Amino acid sequence: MRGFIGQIYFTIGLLISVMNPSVSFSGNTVLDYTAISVKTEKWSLPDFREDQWLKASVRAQDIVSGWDEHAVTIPWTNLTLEYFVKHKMQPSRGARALALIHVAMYDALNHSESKKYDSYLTVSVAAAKVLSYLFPAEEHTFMRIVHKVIELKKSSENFSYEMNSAFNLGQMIGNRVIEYAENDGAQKGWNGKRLQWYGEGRYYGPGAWEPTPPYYYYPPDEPFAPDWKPWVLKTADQFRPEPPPVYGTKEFMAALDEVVDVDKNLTNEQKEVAKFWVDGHGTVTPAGHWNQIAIKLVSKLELSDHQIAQIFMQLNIAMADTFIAAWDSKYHYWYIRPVTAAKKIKGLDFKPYILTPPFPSYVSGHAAISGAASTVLAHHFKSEADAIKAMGDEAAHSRLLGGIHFKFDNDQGLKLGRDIAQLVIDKYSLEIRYAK
Amino acid sequence: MSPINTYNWKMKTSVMIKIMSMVSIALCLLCSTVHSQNTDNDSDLNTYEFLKYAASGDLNSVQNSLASGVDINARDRVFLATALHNASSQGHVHVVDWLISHGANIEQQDYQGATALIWSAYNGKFRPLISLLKAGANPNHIPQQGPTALIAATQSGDIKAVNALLEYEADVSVTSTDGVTPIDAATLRNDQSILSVLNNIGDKK
Repeated sequence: MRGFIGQIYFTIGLLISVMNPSVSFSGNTVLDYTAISVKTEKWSLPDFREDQWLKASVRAQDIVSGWDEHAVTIPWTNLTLEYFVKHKMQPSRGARALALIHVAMYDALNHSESKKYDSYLTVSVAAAKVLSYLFPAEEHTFMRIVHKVIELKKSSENFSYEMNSAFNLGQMIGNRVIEYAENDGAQKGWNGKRLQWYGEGRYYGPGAWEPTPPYYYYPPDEPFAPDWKPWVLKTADQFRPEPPPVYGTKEFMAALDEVVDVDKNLTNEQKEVAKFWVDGHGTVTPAGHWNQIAIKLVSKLELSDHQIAQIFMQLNIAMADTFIAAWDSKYHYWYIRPVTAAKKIKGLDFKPYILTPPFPSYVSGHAAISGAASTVLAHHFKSEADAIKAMGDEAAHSRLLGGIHFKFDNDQGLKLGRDIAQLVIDKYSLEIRYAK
Repeated sequence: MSPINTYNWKMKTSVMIKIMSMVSIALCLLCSTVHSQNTDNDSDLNTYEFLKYAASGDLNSVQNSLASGVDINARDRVFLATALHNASSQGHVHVVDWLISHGANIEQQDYQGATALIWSAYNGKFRPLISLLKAGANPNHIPQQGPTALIAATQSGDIKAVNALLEYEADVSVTSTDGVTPIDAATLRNDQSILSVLNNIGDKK
């Protein structure tokens, strides 16, 4: 059966390549490109002001000079994280965005390598396309940067490849990833202006999450995330953790006492740890933080562009799926935050060291993402596996130090992330199968 | 046509009819399964909406849901909460009163065994709590897990609710399944005013 499907894919691929010899698809990719409509579009350039081109030149120069010491995908990862900070990317959306960017770059690299196109150009165009989708207000910025990158490449010596084909291939891969993103469920509930969520499925009984001080944000963050389409998980609840301790029981009270005691006796060193991993609104986000760690790791070894793209693809897919699974747990259990429980049970106006984010407690999203990221990275950097896992543990523990999570939130989050990461490693290390 | 051919023709027709009947039956079964799945999904969706309306205090929509056939005691799948739980927890006394007057079960329990009275006490919603007590809700119900109504009211720091529960004969000596008494809960919170009320009642006993 698989052979038969393979033959169909092969035939379609062949037909496409015959119909349009400049763009055909082959090689291992995360998304399936055989069924997309193959049409080349010109990326027309509106008139831009001189100063806008000047800024783009600087950016393009950064990217091109970044290629002297880094793989093709790294300068674009750095640029993405810069725009996360500039546009205050929601931490909860960061993992999804990074997965989309890295799938686009990984697929672009694979296709361009198999066609012997200039992978720098194809990857850049695909990345710029997806970035334009993620930051629509900056569409022209990324367009200008890519054109400046092309100019710089043109001016370099030994510039000989089918530039138009590489450009078109990058565009089509970018479009395919955008098409995937448009259908991954992340638009659910948005009417274009605000989230249309009215408490569906919310639990209000003893031990339930409530909006937390000091800002009492409502509605909670991403209540529809459990419905987003995962990359490798069959369903969001595939690894759903067991229920947390019941509110008010001895186990719960011990965990609450621990949060309060830890907060009371925080050392300066512990405060530093809590701050180092805070990764809140207006930062590179937890997923971005792990990309920065990965950039440092890959720079220590002699790895090919392909290997680096594969590591980042796995890393970001694992974090994106873990985010969905963690949010499934959050909106399944609707579990109380320590700050609320401390007030109710102990009458304490407990002020956690870091801000309690506006969504239920169990499991910790940061712990889960860190469990996933550290597992993927430890798999690829075996000589540093212990240190990487320790970083994952520390990131999870930082939420207890920050006073925003119980220890069991963190422990179960880490486990969830690690289970999902193993699934990603198993899938993408053996062979690439298309994501739906 | 030879007799053998006629026989074959009859055989073929008979086999064809049998196959067609089997296919029809299979199709009917498939259709009925799909229909019943759709009906289940519709029913879930209606319950989901009904519970949401109760939580948001939208009495008109609650009434419309019931008119369209939703059970007044319908419960959500995860927490087994009813509309009365939701309306009580959010302080929508007009919805609570209407549900009670239309036969909602005031002793229905959620997944931890908590009643609507416990939910209103936990969330510090005094007026629904009074409506439920007046309607005969049991103030001494002990859920399988979690706080009793008096402990929940103590934890929400609502002295009015504590007094109301005591007025309706809540027993200060009733402990939760974890062995916690209302006095333990007030002591832990260091809530002197509630502690004093509870101790006075305890002394009288």
